[in-house]
Amino acid sequence: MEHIPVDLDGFNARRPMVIVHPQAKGLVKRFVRSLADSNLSVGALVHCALPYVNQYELERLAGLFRWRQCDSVVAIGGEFAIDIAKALATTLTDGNELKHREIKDRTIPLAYIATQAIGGNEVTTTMNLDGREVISDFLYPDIVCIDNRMVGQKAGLNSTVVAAIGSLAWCVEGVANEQCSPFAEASVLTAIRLIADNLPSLAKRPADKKSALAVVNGVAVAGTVKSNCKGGVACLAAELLARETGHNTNLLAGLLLPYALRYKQERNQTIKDDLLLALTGIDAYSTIAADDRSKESIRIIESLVSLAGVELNQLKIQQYLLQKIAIDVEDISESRVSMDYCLGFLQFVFGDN
Amino acid sequence: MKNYDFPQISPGTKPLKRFYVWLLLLIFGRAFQAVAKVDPAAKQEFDRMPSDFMLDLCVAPNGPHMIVGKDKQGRIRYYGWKPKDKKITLSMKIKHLEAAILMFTFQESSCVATARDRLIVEGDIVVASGVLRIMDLLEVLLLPKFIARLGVKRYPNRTQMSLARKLRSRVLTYARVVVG
Repeated sequence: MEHIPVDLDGFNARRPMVIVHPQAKGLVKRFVRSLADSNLSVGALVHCALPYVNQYELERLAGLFRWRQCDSVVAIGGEFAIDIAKALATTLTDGNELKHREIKDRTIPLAYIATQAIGGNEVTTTMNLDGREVISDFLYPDIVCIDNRMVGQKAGLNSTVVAAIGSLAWCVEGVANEQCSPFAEASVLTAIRLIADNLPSLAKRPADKKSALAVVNGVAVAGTVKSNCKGGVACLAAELLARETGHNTNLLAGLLLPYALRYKQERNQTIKDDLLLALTGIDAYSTIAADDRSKESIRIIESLVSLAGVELNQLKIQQYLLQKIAIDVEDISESRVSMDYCLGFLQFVFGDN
Repeated sequence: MKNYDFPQISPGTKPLKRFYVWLLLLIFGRAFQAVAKVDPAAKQEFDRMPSDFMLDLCVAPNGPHMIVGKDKQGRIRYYGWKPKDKKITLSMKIKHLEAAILMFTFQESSCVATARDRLIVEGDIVVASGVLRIMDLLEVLLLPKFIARLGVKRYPNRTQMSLARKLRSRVLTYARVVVG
């Protein structure tokens, strides 16, 4: 964290506005202590009151930002805290029209300090504004700080596990995606490895800083995959189902993932061996026969997803939604995932329950 | 909107850590001057440096500093901790006080610190590498082996530095650091 003043200084910024996630309230002292003997002073410390970004609040914060002569934005914690920071940094740049989702530039530096309050969208090019998703290259944070002093709290454990499972779903489907950019491909396996290796120990021992740090790091790397790669049927269906039902997108994506892989297997489509390699590492991978690798991958993913402690049938998804979701998935995937395939998949999933 | 809803915070200072780093830089500065006279390898390294060599090793953003350079006769001299009015040719900044503490409590060697992006160098990289080599040599000479091993990448074995040279250079460097 001590690097943040130095890096912000590189942007000629010395007076940030700090947006704090409610779960990260106790971590502010550690952040302030890390600023000692630097030229940086906090212009305004804002504790998020609302769990979403609201246009009125945003204008209020923009006024405060100008009044206190701040020059950069730092978010402590993810989810809506980073969304507010991203919205604030873009709204303060001339020429952007957030109401019309037009982001042409961003001149305000944006730093993100990872805590265990994460939603998976922090280190991506997306943000949630008034319930709508806004995508722009200018939404990627300039500085991402993952520090062991800011993780290892019990409070944010559930959101960390759910975000990690959601990120895992994106990465696993990223491995299978032929159109995935080489840059994202390079990150995919690292993210899967970090999450798969450390999520079980984090769920068992929430205070384990090493695991928490690795999982948060894995989610941050998965953000690069999300920004550069389009999701597969599980992620897209989860996104749309979440919109319809109000359930968590990450949780739905995680729960749908093993079904997506099994559905693929039933249709005799291949599941790449790389997946097992990333999930288990080279030693275990080389002891498993080639024919059993897909099954083993699915088994490991199922055990990881079970850490969320929620079953799909507990979510009570209504059957009448499936047709609509299938049509919408074909639409948003630009026909990469056909309606028939998606409908067959959803019936495979919810027929099981 | 009330002021106390959104507090402004000025960061504090860490006077003890600052003092420790200042003291270490003072000792290192004097040791630079001493080792240039007593150790042949250090002398050779300094000879390769340009005649206007003036090093400012400091902790960003507000110091402390250590100024070491060549005088008109080409001898290495310690010029204190005030960079004002000095013509600095090589500036080596440790990015923040915590990084300096890691380096100067020998929890991190200079190589590891460089790899972890803790140093900013403005000036000739070749000369900066020479300075790091001399710093490693100073750690070997000034510190007991079990501490020095933490501070350098590879502790020199007998073939690289004979026991006689090590003892002679160590005693003379210590004497010159104390006496001047």
